[in-house]
Amino acid sequence: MREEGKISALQAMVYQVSIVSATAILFTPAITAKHAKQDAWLSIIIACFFGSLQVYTAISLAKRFPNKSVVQYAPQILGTLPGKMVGFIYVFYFFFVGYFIQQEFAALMCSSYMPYTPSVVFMLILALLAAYAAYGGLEVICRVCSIVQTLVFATLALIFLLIIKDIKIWRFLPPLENGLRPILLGAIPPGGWFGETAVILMLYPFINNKEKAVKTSLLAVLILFITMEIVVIGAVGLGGPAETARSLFPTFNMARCIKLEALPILERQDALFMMVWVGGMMIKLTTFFFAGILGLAQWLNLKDYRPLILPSMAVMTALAVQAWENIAELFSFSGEVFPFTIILVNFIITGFLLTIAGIRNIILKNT
Amino acid sequence: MKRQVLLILVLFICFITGCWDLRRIEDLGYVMAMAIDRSSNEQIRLIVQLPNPRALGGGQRGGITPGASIDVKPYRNYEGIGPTMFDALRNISHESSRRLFFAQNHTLIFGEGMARESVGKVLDFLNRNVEIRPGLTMVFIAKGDPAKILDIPNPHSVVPALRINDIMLWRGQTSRFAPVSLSRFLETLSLEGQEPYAGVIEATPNPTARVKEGEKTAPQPSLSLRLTGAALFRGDRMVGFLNETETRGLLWVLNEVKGGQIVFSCPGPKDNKVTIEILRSNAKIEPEITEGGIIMTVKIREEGNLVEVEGPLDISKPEVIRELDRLHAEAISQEVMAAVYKAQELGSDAFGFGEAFRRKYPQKWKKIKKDWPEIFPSIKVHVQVDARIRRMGMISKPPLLGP
Repeated sequence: MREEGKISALQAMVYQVSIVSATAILFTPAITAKHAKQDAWLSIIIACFFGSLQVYTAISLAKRFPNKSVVQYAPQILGTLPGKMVGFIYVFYFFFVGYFIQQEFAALMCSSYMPYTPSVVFMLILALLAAYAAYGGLEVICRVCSIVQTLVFATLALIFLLIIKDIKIWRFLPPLENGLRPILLGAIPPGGWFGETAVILMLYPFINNKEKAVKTSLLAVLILFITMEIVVIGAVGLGGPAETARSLFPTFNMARCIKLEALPILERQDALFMMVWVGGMMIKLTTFFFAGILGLAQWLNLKDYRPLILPSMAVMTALAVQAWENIAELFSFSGEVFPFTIILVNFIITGFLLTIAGIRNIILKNT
Repeated sequence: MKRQVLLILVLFICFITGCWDLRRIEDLGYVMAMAIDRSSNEQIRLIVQLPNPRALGGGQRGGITPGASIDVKPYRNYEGIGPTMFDALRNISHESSRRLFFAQNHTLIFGEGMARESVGKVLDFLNRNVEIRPGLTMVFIAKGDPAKILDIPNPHSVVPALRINDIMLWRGQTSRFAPVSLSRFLETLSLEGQEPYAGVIEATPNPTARVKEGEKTAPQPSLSLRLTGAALFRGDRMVGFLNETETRGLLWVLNEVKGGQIVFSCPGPKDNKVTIEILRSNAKIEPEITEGGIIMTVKIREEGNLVEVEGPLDISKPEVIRELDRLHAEAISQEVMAAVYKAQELGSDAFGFGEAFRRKYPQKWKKIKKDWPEIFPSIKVHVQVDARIRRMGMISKPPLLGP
């Protein structure tokens, strides 16, 4: 495998944040509020703990094999054939989420301002950008992520400041109206998204200050937690749980509904939101796609991943085009199937690998 | 060579902005106000107001023939009729040279007839469409034909839609009309313990229009556009109107009073009045379950300035001010009670008493929420007002009172 350059633990954190933030910002409030209603903000807290557990599992596994990625050491843990199979699951997971992102991107673009443009145009443009970024390599991607993420958070902070006067505390009352169950149900999808930070499994070999990786990974979860709380509190506090659960893109609605009678020029920040969100989606796809082709190249024992970029991008876009018939299918999938799929990969399979590796270690020591 | 090709490719980006959804600003008809009513054959009748930028743009109105008495109107109203909202608005495209664009629309008016039947059917479109901003669109009920209201002339703020916006910005002058944003309207509709309300808009005769026949000056418009009071709903059906005093009673409880005037009688035998200007207020509903039923206590804190005293009242004395505070609080509490009686009579809990109850007693609420429409008219409401006069303008004693 060619040397992919070195990144710092902090850059890895930005990568981890970027891989989650864009879709989490847009979809968390609706999906969480559907179950948890006014307690959606409590769901996020629970999801945050679950996310921390997932990323901690991932990093404990990564620490055992500091110079290899999970695709490379899975055969070492499980034996060649099952190891390769598990490796392929990881690789496919990245592509799978990748084409899911393309569909989600097209969903908002086509629903909001460009209904007459075929959705494949959006998927293709996003894919080409991501492919171009992937040619740049890991270091370049990390730097782009830092720039875009700064803009995303700045915009989010601005929008939150503009709506904070309209957030009403009573919209969050009474807490725990229907007990704990709905809150736990609401915590599953964001919990899954938090788990996407387990991409550290692929990045760990390239980090030059590995001792800091645990701290920065947990910091990444914390940053995402604050982000999600901001959008959830903003959306529920502004429109109430019922309206939030009904809308398909609650955060986008939040930006649309900014009302300032004194300074109307600051109203209607949806264009600004759209701009940074497109940027966020682009890096989100890039991070998944890059992890995917890197894994694929390692899985195939190739020297370089670059020849794989265009073919796999073409396959991914084709999968995206055919995957979901309409937006209702896409949304029920993203709420009911998708979180469990990624929890399976990020938590269950990673935990399984960690357990087996631990058992092997004990056996090795004893013999 | 490679760089030149790249440059050309980059230049191409300029031609593909908007992809298939290119919209030129000069092709769009910016809807400034929309009114929805039932047509005679039970279809949806949609009236939209588009500005005429050329006539709005200043210079001499009517342009070509100086001194012409007929001005070019700076707006044009279109009417479309169809079985659904979308159908009605697309029907307008047969007449309009511009594509209707709703993102700048601030005013949504329902005809009274339609509101009394149901507005629920059209709300879906208004919430679903991306161009309509629920947070920025204000909901009104028209007393009378909305088409007539949207065509009331005025020498300044010529476009009626913009006039409505401007009047609304000054709602804190009296707090006696109740515009509500579409998003709030939808939210209250989805709440079980609260019913929606909307502002009311009407055409009133203009008593200052007294120009005689044959006089040179242009006549004053004979009608004025007036925002007044509130309309209460039960579910998606309008059930009645509140007058202006009752409307402020409602707004006190909803914490929407941004200012206004309170008039009450002076202490003492003569019928003189004192006027207070409201500065700020804050209200809280506290539900309580007693043996006699549910009691709602509305606690209002208010601060105001004294602006007018008719009688010979020595208001430089603190104890007089204290007495005025008490009377002033009573006046507020009367306004609130007037609104409560009217709302209980109409059976519309626009105050959110049910919601306040749900927030405090979620478990008990589950048992009674089905019967809430029957319980609401019988609940007792207490109002506790803590009103304070802070300042009194430029003089202390009124001029009538000697030194």
